[in-house]
Amino acid sequence: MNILVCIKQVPDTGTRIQLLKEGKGIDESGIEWIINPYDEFALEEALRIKERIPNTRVQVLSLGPPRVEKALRTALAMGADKAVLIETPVSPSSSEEKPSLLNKNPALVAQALAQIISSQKDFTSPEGLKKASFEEKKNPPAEKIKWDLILTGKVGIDESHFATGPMLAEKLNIPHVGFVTKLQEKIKNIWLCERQGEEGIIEEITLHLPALITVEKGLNEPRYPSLPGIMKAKKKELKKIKLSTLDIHYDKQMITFHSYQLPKESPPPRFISGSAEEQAKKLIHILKEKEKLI
Amino acid sequence: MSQVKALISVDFLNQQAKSSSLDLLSFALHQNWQVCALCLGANKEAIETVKKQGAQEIFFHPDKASNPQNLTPFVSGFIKEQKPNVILASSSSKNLELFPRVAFRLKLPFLSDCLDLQWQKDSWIIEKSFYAGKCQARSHLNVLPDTPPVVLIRPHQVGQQEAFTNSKDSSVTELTWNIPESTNYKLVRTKKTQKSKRPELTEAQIIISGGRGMQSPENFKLLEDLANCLGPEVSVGASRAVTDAGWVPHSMQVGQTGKTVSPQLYIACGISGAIQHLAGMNRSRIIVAINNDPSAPLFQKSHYGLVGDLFKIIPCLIKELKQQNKN
Repeated sequence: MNILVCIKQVPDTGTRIQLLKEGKGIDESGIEWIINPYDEFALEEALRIKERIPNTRVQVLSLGPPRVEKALRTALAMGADKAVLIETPVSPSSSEEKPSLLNKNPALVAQALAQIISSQKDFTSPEGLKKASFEEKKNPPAEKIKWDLILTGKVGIDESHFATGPMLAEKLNIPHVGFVTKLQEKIKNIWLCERQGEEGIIEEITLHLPALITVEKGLNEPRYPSLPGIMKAKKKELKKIKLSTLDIHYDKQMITFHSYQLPKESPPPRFISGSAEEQAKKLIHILKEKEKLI
Repeated sequence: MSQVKALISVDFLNQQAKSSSLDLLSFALHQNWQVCALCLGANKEAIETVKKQGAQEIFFHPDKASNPQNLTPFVSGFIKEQKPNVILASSSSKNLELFPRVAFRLKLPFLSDCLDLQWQKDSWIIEKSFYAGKCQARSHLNVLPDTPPVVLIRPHQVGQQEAFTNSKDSSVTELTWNIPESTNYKLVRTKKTQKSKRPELTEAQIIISGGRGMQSPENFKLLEDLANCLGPEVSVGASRAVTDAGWVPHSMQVGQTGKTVSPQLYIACGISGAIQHLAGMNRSRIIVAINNDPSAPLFQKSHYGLVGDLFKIIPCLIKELKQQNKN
């Protein structure tokens, strides 16, 4: 089967966010970039499926400035077969320019990803996969890739849109299930997804492929790239396509942000002292009488 | 433009409108907006609270199709008919599955995890959280005809006012949507986990959270006991250190790779306060930290700090609350 994993490169979770002058955006200088943790769960799941089901190929797709190549190399080192980068112009970083519009607009990202997904050609044999770029020029194969499963994280931890996955599914006119914590094949093309519902309920959904799934933490523990994996990754295909060559409609969906702000500095805490019993009594008194919370 | 018309999608749980949705209704009504409530998965009795809250128009459909793909065309058609100036819903996981599809289909601006919105001089000013709360930014949307933004708001950010009493009767309409059965998507069964009946972390009014200072998974029982004393709107959360260690499920994690929460009261027990954790809870109204290490960074973000042994303090809190509940 053909699995596509959409990944995003985001600042490491330990990053202390710094703002540009006048709150025009995020200062990207000095940021350590990683694969979005939720997308990493999606990639790990794809690699596990590949290990279980013969003839499975895993391709990763991302969109972003040239720095994203590093995230895709990591994905290849973990075991993905091929990577495609939709390259956007170099991010303005700490300059005064407007940050990329595309960044804040999942609808535009979904359009770009969908275009790549529906245009890619198939190379059936593993050898074909290796020689893909060479043969593509010489002898373009007629068939488009039939994607069985598209996996991605439930959210990018940077911009918290929760939207690119569902929007991509809408564009491709396929069903999607969000927030999945367990995934298994029942019979060919019918998969069972589990997710946490409300009030401690677990929902089970049967899904016919082709479909898109967004994944939640708890699905798996992603592997680290192995040394042989890193060596192999250097020879794997990483294709770059300029965003400007795609046909994206920058219309009414477009949103821009300004006036970036860090959380307000909180006033110093009020320490409640005394024995454990006194502390407890004082706290409950405050929460009840002063804050009226309990 | 005369009066703003807001279409608010109301969430229901066990045929009860969720408090996060009622907040949105009261918020919109206090702005003097005309409110049209879309109640999916609600029966006629369930919409009574929505009526009481003061929505002028109520549309309901008893069956909320489980497949967002099949529901999308119906909701999209409804928006086109109603021509609202904004579509509001809470940032719940169900809405995060449905509304990106709807917004994409109708080519409407989509914003989620929003903290506030205001209508000013014919444009929307929307405040959105980024990096799970490490920063926030503002968007000005000039409203074009037929392009209302779809805005999903984080629970408990707006509309904590009392219910709005509407003098006029609401108009109630049952929608006659014939949502087709899915062949490619089926919700087969739901099973209860052992977890007790507590609200979603993102919806809870009060959260008791435990970190490495809890020392073992068994000790989370202590936090459960404290939560029980505080009432039904209380949830128990955890830091990444303890969910990664497998002490409690990942679904309990608060932080950048877990849930972003903003309850009225957040009590952090034995949590030092890594930057990822702070991002996920720094918009809680009142933060209480209990930790034996006075240099724990969480104290600097909290309103009240209790330095001491949580295994002594929490039982005292439980004892005191039980005594007060009795009286």
